[in-house]
Amino acid sequence: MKMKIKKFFLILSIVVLLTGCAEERVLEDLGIITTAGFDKGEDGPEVFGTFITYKFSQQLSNVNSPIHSSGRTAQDAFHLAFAKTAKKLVTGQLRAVVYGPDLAKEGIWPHLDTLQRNQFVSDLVYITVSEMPSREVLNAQVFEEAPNVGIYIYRLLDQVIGKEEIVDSSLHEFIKNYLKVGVDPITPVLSIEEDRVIVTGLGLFQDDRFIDTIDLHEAFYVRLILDEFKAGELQIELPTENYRQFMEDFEPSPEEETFEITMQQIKSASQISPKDSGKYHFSIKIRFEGDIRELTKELDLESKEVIHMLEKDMAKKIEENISKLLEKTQELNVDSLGFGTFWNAKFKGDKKLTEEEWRKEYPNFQFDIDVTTEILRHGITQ
Amino acid sequence: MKRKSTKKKQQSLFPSTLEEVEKDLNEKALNSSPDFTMKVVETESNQRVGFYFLYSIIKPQVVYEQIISPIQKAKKTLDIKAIDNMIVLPNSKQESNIDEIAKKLLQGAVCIYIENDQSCLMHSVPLQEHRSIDRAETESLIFGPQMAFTGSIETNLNMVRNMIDTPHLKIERFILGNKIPNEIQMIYMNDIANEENVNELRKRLTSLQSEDIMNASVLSQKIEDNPYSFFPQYIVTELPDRFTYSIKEGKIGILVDNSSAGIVAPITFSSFFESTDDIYGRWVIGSFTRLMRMFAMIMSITLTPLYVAALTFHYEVIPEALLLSLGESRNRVPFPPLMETLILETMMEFIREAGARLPTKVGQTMGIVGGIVIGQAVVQAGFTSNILIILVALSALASFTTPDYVMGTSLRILRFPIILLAGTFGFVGIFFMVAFIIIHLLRLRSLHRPYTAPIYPFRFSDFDQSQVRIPFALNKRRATSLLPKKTKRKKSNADQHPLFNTKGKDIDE
Repeated sequence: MKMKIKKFFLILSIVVLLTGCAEERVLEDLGIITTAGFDKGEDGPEVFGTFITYKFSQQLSNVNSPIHSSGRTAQDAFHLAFAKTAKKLVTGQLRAVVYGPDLAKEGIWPHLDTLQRNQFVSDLVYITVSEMPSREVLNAQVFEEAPNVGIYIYRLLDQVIGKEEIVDSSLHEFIKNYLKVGVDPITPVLSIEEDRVIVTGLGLFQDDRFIDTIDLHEAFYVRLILDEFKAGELQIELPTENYRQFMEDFEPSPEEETFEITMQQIKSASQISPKDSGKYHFSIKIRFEGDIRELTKELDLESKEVIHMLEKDMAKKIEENISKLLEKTQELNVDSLGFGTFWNAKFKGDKKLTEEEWRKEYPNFQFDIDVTTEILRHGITQ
Repeated sequence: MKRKSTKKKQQSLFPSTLEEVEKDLNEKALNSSPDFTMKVVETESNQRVGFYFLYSIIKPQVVYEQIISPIQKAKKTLDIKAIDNMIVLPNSKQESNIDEIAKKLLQGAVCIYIENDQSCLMHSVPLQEHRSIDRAETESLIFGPQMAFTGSIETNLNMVRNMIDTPHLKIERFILGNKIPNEIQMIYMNDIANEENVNELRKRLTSLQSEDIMNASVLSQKIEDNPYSFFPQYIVTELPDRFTYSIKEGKIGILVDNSSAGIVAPITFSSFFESTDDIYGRWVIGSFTRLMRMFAMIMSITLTPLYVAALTFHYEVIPEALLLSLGESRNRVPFPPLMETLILETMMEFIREAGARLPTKVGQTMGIVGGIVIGQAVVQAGFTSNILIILVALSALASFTTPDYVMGTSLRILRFPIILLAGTFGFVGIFFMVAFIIIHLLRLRSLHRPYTAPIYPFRFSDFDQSQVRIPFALNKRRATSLLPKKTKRKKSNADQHPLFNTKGKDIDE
């Protein structure tokens, strides 16, 4: 027994002495970065970094004071920031990364690589681009109850994505889309308005280069095609002309040419099936159902005819909007929706698209869009 | 050889005069005790009879009324046999060895000697002062009988006998202690208790070489499987109902004289988290509290180490919602998390120990001083963060949910090495220590039976009586990990419960 105890202490002391203590990162001594922004520096290959950290003091937490630093790469900029704060900068709680437009247009892959290799950075970090330099976005002074702008941006994106408005854009998702043949990444686009950060739309990427943005209305259709809705919301405008006969009496002569209809509790399912007809042909089938939330004109919704007409017109409008969106991506030659992957998932061997073929052929892809809508409930009108 | 010769010498004392016997007994055998008393009575037939006793440990009234006065009144010539017939008390013995006589006197006997006789008569009339049957102090019950074992083995056995009045209750008596002998009783149900367990325990008791047995707690530590372990391997309980319940389930109980507690063996780790209250209460309450105690145990040993590890090394695992309040409260603290936690945990132990050692009336004041004054002031002075105060209080509270005080304290002390490792190695340290504890528990045995049963070795059918408590209608078997002689419970009409017969119909349907 005595030998055993001796042995135990020997092993224990060897373990302690040889490994030493782990590197200490005591919470209050850390500058915990919540959001990092990267811009193109003034000259040459410089990267300008902006870092938002936690402030563990109630007096200071209302003031936003980002740390700026520049270096040759994103990692370098982060590394050189150590001299600009009394706290030890760490990235373990990083929630979002904002890339400025200048940098994003040149390609963000080199800067993403460092995030991907860093074991402290979660795969669920949000990747975003901004309309103006990210240092301006991160300088926002209004951030509601959040402890700092970084957390505000994180909560904003969480809320927006959780509300099913735009598709997910985590680091994992971005890298997957970047490396995969047949799909280009998308990210949310941030901007600043009245000193607060807002989401304005989706940024379309070609490979890792930021090309253009689409607004939130168009962003809805991206999600409609790619994902399914469980509780979304959509506003469409319809021509008044067709419904003149159903209008209520007290509004005999509507001047406006269109009226708005808002759908709520949208459930949707989409099916994309590639067809080989000599050309790259895709049929997009979307089932779409929801409740009417808002109608800017009084219509007699009791009649089935009106409902059918609304459903038909809405389907038409949605088809139109989708084809507009697809045309735009084809013009820009960005396959943000990943039709290339749908093709490659179905066809094998020679028919499979290589990266070059896909880039070359994407503008010539053909789409058949077929939307069926159904109005489940239209609310009590009387 | 030498001993034999002295014996012979002593035997040659008899016959002698009363005064010689007194001198021999008191000065040689008893080392001149001040309470040694000799009473000489001259009978009507002019015989001198001496009574020798230690007046502090005999019942004086019994001695005078039952022993001395009948002899005093005797008219014929007396011999030892006649005296024995005269005295109606049981437990008489003839003795001629002076050492043996002294030994008996120390146990509360009266020695009667007729002058110039060959031997003397011993009558046992011991006086044992004990507290009466009282409420349990260390283990308290809500529903159960509000009584605890007393210091007297007769009273304790009386309680056990009353609770289990069947001839199957087998009691074996041992006298242990080379220097100061003490009576020990091993109690079990001979139709249920596993024979190997009984033999093993009997072997351990008989082979125990010890100067004395202070009480049940000491005895339990002397017959443990692993005396070096952190964990108690027998339950020492002062509750007679818990004691008898365990015996009825096939375990073995040990009672020790002059000890107000009984030992239960063999036990498992989970039985420390069971209370008889779980059985008295409804099955939902019983199951819930048992699971809760297990959870509380795990929480009490890991909560503060997790705090230390997360704040020292793993800031990235702290949820975003918690980070700010943690950081803010830590901001003023001058110590690293490890020091901070050790200070507060030590303080908590101070308060607990002070509360335990102080008289009850002062103890309450201690609670207020410790809880409010220190707790409040420590945070205000920036000594510790208020979140840690919550965690320490919570884990201390959780450790007090363990029904067994010894186990609760062991677990509380176990927290310190985990905190130390958490502060030097982070989560790795915690896992290392927890793994170490689990391996130790797996190796531990109680009376050669696995300590961690029914989790390992896995006996799913035993879970219903250890980790949870099922309704009695379903409880038809004893726990098999105890290897009882009879697994099936004796005929019960639990399955003819009205619920099963009427198929849920109302009585007047």
